Amino acid sequence: MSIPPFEVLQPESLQEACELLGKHSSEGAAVLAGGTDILVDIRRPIIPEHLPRCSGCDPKTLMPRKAVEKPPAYMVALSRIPDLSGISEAKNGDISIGSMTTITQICESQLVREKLTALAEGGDNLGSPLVRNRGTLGGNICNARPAADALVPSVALGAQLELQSVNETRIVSVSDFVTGPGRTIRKADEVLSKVIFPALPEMSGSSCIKLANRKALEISVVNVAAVLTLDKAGKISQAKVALGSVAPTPVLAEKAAASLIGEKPSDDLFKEAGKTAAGECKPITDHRGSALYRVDMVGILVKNALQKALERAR
Amino acid sequence: MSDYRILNTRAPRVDAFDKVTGKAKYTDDLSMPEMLFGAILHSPQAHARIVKVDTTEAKKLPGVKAVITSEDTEGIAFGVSPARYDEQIFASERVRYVGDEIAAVAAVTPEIARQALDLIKVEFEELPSVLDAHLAMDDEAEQLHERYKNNIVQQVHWDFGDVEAAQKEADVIRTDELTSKMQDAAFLEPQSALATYDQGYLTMYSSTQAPHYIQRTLAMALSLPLHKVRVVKPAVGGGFGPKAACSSMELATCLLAMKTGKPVKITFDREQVFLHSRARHQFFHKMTTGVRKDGTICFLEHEALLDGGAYCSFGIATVYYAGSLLGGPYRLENMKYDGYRVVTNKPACGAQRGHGAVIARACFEIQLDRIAEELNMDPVELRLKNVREAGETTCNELYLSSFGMKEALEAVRDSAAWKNKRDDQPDGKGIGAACGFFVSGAGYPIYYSKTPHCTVVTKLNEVGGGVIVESGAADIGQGSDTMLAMITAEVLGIPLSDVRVMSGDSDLAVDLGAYSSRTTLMTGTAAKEAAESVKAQILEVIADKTGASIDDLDVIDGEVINSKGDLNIEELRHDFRMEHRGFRGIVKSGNLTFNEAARVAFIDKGSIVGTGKYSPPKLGGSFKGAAVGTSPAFGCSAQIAEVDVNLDTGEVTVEKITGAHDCGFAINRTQVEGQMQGSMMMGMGEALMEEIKYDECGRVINANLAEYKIPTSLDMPPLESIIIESHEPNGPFGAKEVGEGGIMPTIPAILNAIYDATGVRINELPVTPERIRTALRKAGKVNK
Repeated sequence: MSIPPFEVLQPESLQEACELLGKHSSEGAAVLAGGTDILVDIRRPIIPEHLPRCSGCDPKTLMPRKAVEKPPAYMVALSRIPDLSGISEAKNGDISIGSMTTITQICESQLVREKLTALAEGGDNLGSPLVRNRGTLGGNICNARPAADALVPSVALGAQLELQSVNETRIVSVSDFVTGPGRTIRKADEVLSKVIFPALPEMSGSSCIKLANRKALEISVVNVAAVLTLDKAGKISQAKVALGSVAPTPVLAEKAAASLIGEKPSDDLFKEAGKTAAGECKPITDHRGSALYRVDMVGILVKNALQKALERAR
Repeated sequence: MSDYRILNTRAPRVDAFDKVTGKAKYTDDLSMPEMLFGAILHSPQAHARIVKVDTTEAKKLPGVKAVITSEDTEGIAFGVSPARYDEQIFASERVRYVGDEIAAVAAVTPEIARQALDLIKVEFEELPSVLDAHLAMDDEAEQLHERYKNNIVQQVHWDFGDVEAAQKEADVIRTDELTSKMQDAAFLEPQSALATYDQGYLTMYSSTQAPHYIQRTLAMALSLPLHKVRVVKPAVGGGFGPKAACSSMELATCLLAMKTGKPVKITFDREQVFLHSRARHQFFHKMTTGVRKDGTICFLEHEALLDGGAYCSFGIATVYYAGSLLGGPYRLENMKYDGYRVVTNKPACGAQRGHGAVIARACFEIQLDRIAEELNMDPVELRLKNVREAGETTCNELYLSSFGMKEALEAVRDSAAWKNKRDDQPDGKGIGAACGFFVSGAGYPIYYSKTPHCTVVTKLNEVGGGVIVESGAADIGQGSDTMLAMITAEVLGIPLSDVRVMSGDSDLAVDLGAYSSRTTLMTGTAAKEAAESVKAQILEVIADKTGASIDDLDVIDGEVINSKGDLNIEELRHDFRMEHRGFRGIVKSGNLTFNEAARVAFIDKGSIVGTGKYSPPKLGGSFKGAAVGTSPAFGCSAQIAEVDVNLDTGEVTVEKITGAHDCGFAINRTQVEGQMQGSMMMGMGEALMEEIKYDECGRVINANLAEYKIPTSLDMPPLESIIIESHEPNGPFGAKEVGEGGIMPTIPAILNAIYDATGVRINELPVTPERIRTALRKAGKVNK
């Protein structure tokens, strides 16, 4: 396998990591937070790029996909920084997950399975056991793929991201953070330190469903995460629906969610919400699935995800 | 359950320990002093004239030891079938697919070799590319090779029996079509080759399935005497067909070694495995079949178009197999076949498990289910009504010397509780059945020759005791070394642990290789003959020394037994003990051991070597192309698949596959089951997910195992494997193939089950969730 050479830097504090990222930003410095995406993305294509392509060739369709324009000269590994991994619940019920927490740790956490079910299910769907053992929540979010298995439920669960740089700490919502496929508002010298999931009220439930051509090691054709909260009368008081693989970023289906508020949950209601959600996305046709099928499946998956979330809310 | 001590058991594989502990050495694990690393420059364009290749800068890069192009190869042509040598080591005049080889580099590190590729300049003059097999045959289509008019490499026109007359007898006539996609074998080990050239002798270590064919191709293409070319196959991580032909990468590795005088190694990246391909063709089948009301099959008219990519490779055999193997397993007396194999500007296709016959089989078995439905007949009953039995000959002159088709079909029917499940299934659940038929070793070599297909040399260890089996057979993971050891140990009456197998080396013996499911029947027969010879030579000496009759002597459980009473061994034992003063564990009493006997025989005769060979009898009819599809024996199999289809999303969960395969006789029961299960897994992938995808420029867009989907362990259902033993008279101890035949029923069984579950027919492989959902939508079966 042909991977261009790079130097690995192993800072022992967040401050040092931010400094290194800032210092090497001009030569290209990437964060190494598991490596399950970036080490794949920087592989050199077998056919050298300098050779002339045929006149009709669109370089964008080159495989493996070029997620990294210029391979980084430095990789800043976060693995030696203490306190970046772990899951904790604050007194107010907020759940905080360190950015270097592995997907396996998330899937095995009883707290996450119970209170952030959609995230645990998204984690279950990610890659294979080997990938989940190395891949991290922070890595999955910052890699910002529209299909990302942990990112889509994080959007539905309203995750807040704590970004640290040398001089500043800021909190942004995950929806604002991701701006395009592989693109975020993270500055060159910033590190995602933790992900905070606001406490959900009583009578809440969430779910995440993935549709793909096989049962593991897959990039979704469509994935959907849903969060529902019921009031004492059994009506829906809060709802969030996030859609993956149907736009350049994960999409919050706001109209679909709004159509649920104040209503009594029913199959028909969820089916209509699915149709509404299908109207809120503009997927493309690619080798994983056609736009038509994706829109069709958004309707089905949203309905199914809401039903599962409802079972858990009750 | 059998009279054998070693055969028919579940003996652990002889290579199990090394494989499991990581000790086994694959080609890329090998390293040599001063070894250089090679890299290959592949074409970025699907079809273009090469105007200029400039390697000046690459040669100047420090650490680069050689850069070679077509200028270094004397325009030599090679390929698989001698009548179609259409490949060059490096493209000289034009490139014909994205991935075609243009140049190669050897350097002191892999990184420098790669940098050198970045310094090679190539000028192209673009040519229109032909990516569609149907359009390729148009008169206006750009021609890829001068010799292939209308881009047709091979066409076959067969007409057995009297189809026209049979049409009049048929009560139901149906026409159906099935299209597949090019597929990859997805073996674990990417191709790798390491070559050395020393004092005129070329040695290449390669992850090949067929050292013999590679040896011949290297000698021919590199103008070396055959006896000075040696091909060695280290441990191989799967082949499935694509590793059966010599590749330009292997030739380039040798050329670089000859040019630099140093060992050179090239190992493919996974992307190169896809670019090189030589895997499953794309098939377009159209079949018209007629049956009588009672289910008797009257005739089959079959048209096939095969897209084989840029070169012929195994393509001639592929297009013949696609027609000939429909001759069984049913009584079909009238069969017409028109097959075309074309070239297009895509990676070349070759042989892959079930060579040529898999998609044709799927199309026919799906059609049988549709016919059964029209006749209101149970599809298993329809098949049982038509299956052939041992002793019959097919319309295309394939003789079935053993044939457990009926037994296999009844076994899966009963084990899967077919009748209950077929009648009583909720919506979305389905069950489907299908049969299969395959050769047990190709009847003829790929080049014209009367050569034995294999030889085995079994040598007694001179110090007494074990034996060494020397064979050219290629154990590529299927377990042929274990098969050879078990047969030898059984014949000689000694423990399996006393047999050491050396194989996969062209210096040891001749063997055409691991393809066409030939090794157990052919090399197994040769190994049996060699072991019998060794045994006879030992017993001859013992008879002579003891005065016993050789006819009364046998070796059982490592001891020489005289069926007519005690053997006078006093003197022999005395001599043996005198030779071994100081050794522990020397027997003092009891029967003469094999170790003692072997030593006695050596002292008398010198080295004792037994040899065996296998040459098939004359096979096949006199019509054109009759050789392809012939075999000394035929395997057959039946499978039943159970599926659960999500009617909302189209997702298919295969819940169980029950398979039965007639392997004649199971040399090793675990390995037979392993082959059956591997076939089912591969067939399931090809049915549901496997597809090489191209962009409009002819580039493979899913050239990796993340995007090219094969089943994961989570996708695999429980697999039940039922072994049918019909005792093949032409095989060793009655054994025949199980390597490929087991894949035949899998695709149609799954597709028939999906129809049972959904009521929609899908005529395009793979059957993805989207294709099912689309079919449901078209059939008006989608809830609004």
